[in-house]
Amino acid sequence: MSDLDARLTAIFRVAFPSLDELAIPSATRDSVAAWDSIAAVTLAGLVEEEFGPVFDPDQAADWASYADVRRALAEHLDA
Amino acid sequence: MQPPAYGKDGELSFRPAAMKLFEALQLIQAPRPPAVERARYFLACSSTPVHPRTFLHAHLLARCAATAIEIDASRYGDLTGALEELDPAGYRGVAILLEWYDLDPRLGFRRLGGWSPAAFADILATVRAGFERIERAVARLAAAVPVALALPSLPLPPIEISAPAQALDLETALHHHAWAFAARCAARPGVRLLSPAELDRLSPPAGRFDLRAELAQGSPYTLSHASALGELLSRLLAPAAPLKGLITDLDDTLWSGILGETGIAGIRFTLDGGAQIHGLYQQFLESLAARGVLLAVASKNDPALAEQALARPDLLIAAQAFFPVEAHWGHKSESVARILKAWNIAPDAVAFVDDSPLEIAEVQSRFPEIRCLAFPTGKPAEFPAFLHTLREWFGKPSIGEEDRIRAQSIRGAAALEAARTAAAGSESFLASLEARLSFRLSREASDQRALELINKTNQFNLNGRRLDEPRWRELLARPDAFLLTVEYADKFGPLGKIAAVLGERRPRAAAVSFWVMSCRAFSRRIEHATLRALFRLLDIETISFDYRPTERNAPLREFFSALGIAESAPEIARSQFEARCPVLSHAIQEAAHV
Repeated sequence: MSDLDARLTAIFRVAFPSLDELAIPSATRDSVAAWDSIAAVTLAGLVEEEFGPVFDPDQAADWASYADVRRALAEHLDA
Repeated sequence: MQPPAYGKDGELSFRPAAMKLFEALQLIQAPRPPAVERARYFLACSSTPVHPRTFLHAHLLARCAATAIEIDASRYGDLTGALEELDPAGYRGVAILLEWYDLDPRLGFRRLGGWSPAAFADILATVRAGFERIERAVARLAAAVPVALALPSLPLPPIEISAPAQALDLETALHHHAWAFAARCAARPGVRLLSPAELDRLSPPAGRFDLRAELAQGSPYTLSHASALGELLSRLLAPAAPLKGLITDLDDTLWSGILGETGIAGIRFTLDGGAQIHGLYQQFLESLAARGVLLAVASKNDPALAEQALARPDLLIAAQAFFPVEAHWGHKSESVARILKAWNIAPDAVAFVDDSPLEIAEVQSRFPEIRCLAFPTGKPAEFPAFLHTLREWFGKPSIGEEDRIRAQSIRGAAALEAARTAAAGSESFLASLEARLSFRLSREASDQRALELINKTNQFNLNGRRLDEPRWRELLARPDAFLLTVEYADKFGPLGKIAAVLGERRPRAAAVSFWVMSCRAFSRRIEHATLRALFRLLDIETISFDYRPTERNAPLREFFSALGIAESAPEIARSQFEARCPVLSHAIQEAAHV
């Protein structure tokens, strides 16, 4: 597991504590019942805390999957 | 999470790291021991309350390890309405995060209502009316549960077009209304006002506001500010029990200089002597003493010399404020042991202050529970942090009569012990005390001293259970409830209100659920007199007890054993009590107002 995945998995683990760890990489807003608007604010806060204020809240609100978040972070880290 | 300088090594860190969101969620999700009680709190906050609620939840959990915490939050956008509609029943406390836009939406960034000077008079009138509505709601809630109130902590929008360095009329008038509102609210017994100064320290104003998140989500607080607000609100809603006693060193602590080297005239504690922080420390101790904190001295010194130095008339604290004074060349841990015995309090209720890391280590090794703090001799820059730590440890919201007479009663207890040793037998000794007991039977939930006794007393304690204020009021509101309080005085001085019994009447019987007595009142047969008063005032034949052994309630256990009260079936009949009760020689005054 890459460093980015390890950090992001840790974030998803506390944002969605009922989610099985093996299911985290494939997690989507549709597949995780707890992923509502409140959880989205929490997820955005956790990402900001870990990686800094690199995303607009509007952008974070559009994240619909683990893959979305990972892609956005990877682009930011490569930039 | 921790008060600064909470260390056993005496090291200071004035600004502890704030709890992170990640840590807060981990704390909330962590498996916990089976909760002995549940506590619900209400968070009134008109923005999206996600982060403030998470941090308040986590900080309350950090402070109340054995409690299951639930936080309800108000709906978005209507703080005042939520407060007006809130039924406080079932809540342990209410936290209010007030912001300017709660008083007038034009004072926020999400509404476009106009910043024209023509609107200022109307804005002020609206704000004033808003404060009045909130104050009425706060008054109603605070009569039932503790209310923690935070004044607006986010910046005003640039509604007045001035150079940023200059405050104009509207800004000063708004702050004037806010402080007047705060002063009126803080004067109410149930209201705990969050200190803006402490919030500034933990969360500097420039780092509080997140306009991006406010516009996108209605969530204006940065994570660090939400964490600071959660921490301080939790401290107001679940305050730690203050410490009871402080043991201080003398040389290079209470004053600057080594007494044995400089002599009495050579010690310094003033500005011109370059020793101002020692004078400030004396002032601080004098203020602690006035608030009922016990003070003692543990110093490696010549005892006669120490006594003479403490008697210097220009010292900012009187020598009589310290009792006992342990000045000799033995180990400081031995001094501390004797002081604890004289005070009859546990080490975890005591702080030890010394400039020497070696002495701190020696005391800490024998008494790991004592809070040790290094005096910052020669480091005035660290002195504010030092005082801040002592405020954390000893701060309490109000001073009662018992606080004022506590030190006097400790001296009286020592004199009593000396007299007991000198007397031929305990009966004649007790008879010589000229003891006076006052019993008061009531259902008065306003008796904060009785509640304080229940929540502070460990040794003579029926079951170790604690009570929060809502539960206290609920128990006393029951039609058969009674509260018996006991005050004591003898020829050595008054002890004040030293015992409380809370229970319910039954037909010809009483069921006691709480019984506590201050350790300052031991060895005077007050507990016997209390039972006799209960039988007489309630006109009953049997008393049962909700007894539970704890690690520290051996004194109560021994009392029960002497009366033949079985731990398995803790009750006693009046006839059994009278057959086993020793001679009581107190003068009794009784009053019943149930």
